[in-house]
Amino acid sequence: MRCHEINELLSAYFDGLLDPSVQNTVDLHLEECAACRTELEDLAMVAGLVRNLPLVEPPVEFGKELRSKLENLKSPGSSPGLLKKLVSGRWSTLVALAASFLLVFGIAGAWPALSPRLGASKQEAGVQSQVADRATYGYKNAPEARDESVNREKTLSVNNVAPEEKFTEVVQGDRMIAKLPDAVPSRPVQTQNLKTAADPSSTVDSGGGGVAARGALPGGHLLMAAPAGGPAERVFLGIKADDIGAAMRQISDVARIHGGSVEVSQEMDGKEMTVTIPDSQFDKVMAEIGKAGKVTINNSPAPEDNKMSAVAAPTVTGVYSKGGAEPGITSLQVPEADSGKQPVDKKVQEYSLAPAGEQGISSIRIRFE
Amino acid sequence: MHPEDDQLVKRCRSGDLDAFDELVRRYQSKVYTVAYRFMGNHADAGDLSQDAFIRAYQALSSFRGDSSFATWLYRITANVCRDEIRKQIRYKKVSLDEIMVQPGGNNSLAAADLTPEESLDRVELKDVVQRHLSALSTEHRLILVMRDIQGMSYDEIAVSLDCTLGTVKSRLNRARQTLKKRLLEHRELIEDELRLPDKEG
Repeated sequence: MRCHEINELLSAYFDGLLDPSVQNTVDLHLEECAACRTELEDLAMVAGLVRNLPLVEPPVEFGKELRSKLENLKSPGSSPGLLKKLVSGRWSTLVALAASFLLVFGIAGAWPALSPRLGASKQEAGVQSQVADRATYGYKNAPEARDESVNREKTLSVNNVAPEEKFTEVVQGDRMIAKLPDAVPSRPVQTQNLKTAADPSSTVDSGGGGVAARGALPGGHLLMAAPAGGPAERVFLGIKADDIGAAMRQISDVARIHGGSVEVSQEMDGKEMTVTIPDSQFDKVMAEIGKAGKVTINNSPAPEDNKMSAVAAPTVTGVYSKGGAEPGITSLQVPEADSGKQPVDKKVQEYSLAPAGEQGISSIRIRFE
Repeated sequence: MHPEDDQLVKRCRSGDLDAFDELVRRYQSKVYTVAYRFMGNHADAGDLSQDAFIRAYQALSSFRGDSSFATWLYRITANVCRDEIRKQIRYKKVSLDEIMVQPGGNNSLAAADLTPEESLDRVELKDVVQRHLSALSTEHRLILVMRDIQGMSYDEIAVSLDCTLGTVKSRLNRARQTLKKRLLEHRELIEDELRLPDKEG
C-alpha cells in the first residue's frame, strides 16, 4: 500500500477499528515509513487535544432557569407527539395537497351520498383511511408475521374484524351504495389502484379519479374491506438483526428514498427507531423494512387469520355509481386476483386522499433485538 | 460513581423535581460542555443543554435503564445539538467560518480568528483547539465531537448521522486530518503545553 492509502486508514487505525488483516498491513508499513509514523503521531496528538479539552461550566443560573422551565411542564413522559411536530413542519405541504384531493374527489363525489346515512365527520373518515391503508399492507405483504403479533397497541387493535361483518353493499336504483353500520364512520376517500381483480387486464386511468375508476369494475361486484376503528398513529415492529447498526442504516435509507425521515429513539439504548413516511409509501416501506431483519413483532393493523387474504374481489370504499352522471368511486383498493401472492408494487399506483391533519403520515416504531 | 442515579430517576418519574435537580447538578457540566463543543458559543450551549435536560425529563418514563442514565443523557444531548446544527443549515444560518473552509479560503487564520501573536502569547491551547473545532465544516465538527468528546462508537455515530460505517470512517479521518493540518500551525504552542502527544485510544 502506498502512503496516501495508508493515510486514509490512520484514523480508524488509531481507534483500533481496522480489520485485523488491514491493521497488519498498516503495522508493516509504519515500521518502514517514518513519514506515516509522523502522520499517525500528529493524528493522535490532535485527537488527544480534542479529547482533553476541559469541562466548560454552565452559568450559575443554569439550574434555576431549567427548574422553572420544568415546573411549567407536565409530568415526565409527556413529550410532544412526533406526528404533531412533523405535520407542522416538513409534511405540511403534503398534507395540504392531500386535503385538496379530498375536497375535489371526496366531497364532490361520495360524500353527499354517504353523509346523510352516516353522519360521520370528515376527521373521523380520514382516520379510517389511514387504518385501512395499513390493513391493506397487512394482508398483502406480511402474512407470515401477523400470527406472531404481540404487544398490540390499543389504537391498532381495531382491524381484526372481517370486513364482511363491517360493511354490506346495497343497490339503490343505478347506484350501488356501500352501507356501513351506524356506529362506523364512513371512509369516503382512500386510494386508487390500477389493477382490478375482476379483470386483471383492465386498468384504470388514475388521472381520471372516480370517473375512470368506474369502468374498471365490470361486474360491479363490490366488497367493503375497510376496517374501522380509532386513529392509528403508529405501527410497532420488532426486528431481530445480527447487525443492528446495519439494519438501522438500511431502514434509514429506505425511509429516505420514500420521502420519509427517521428518528432514533433515546429509549432502549438506541435500539429503537421511528420511521415517519407519507402514507402513500407505507406498503413499500413496510415491505423493505421486513428485509432488514427477521420480523418478530408486527403490530401493524391487519386482520387475523388471513381473513382478508381470501378477498379476491376489488375493494371499494365509498359509492360506486353505475353509469350515473356523477363520479361515485372515491376510493378503490384492489388486491391481486391471486390473493396468496404479494401484489407487484409497480402495478399499484395509489395516492392518499386523507384530509388535513395527521392522516397524511405513517409512523412506524421499530425495536431491534 | 453515581450509584443513586437510578433512585433519582425513579423519584423523577413520580414528579419529584428536586430529584431531577440533583441529576442536573451532577451532569450539567458535561452536558453543557458537549453542547459548547458542538456549537462553539455559550448562547447556543446554554439553550441546547437546557433542551437536552428537558427532553430527558420528558422521556424519563421510557428510560429503561439499558444504559446508564449518563450515557442516555449524553446521547440526547448529541441529538439535540445535531438537530439544531442541521436546522441552522436549513435556514442558511451558516457562520462565516463555514464559508471559509471552502477551497481557496484562507482557512487557518480566518477560521480560527487568531493572529500569530495571540496564539503564542495570550491564547490558551484549549481556546485554539475550540476555535479550530468550531471552524470545521458542520459534518466534520459533528463527527469529531461525537467521537472524541462523547466517545461514541462508530456504529452509534453512523446511526445518529444517518450514514454508513464507511462514511463514518472516512469522514472522521478527513475531519481529523483537517484539524491536524490547522492545529499544527500552532505547533509551538502545542508543544509548549504538551510535551508529549496523548496517544491513548
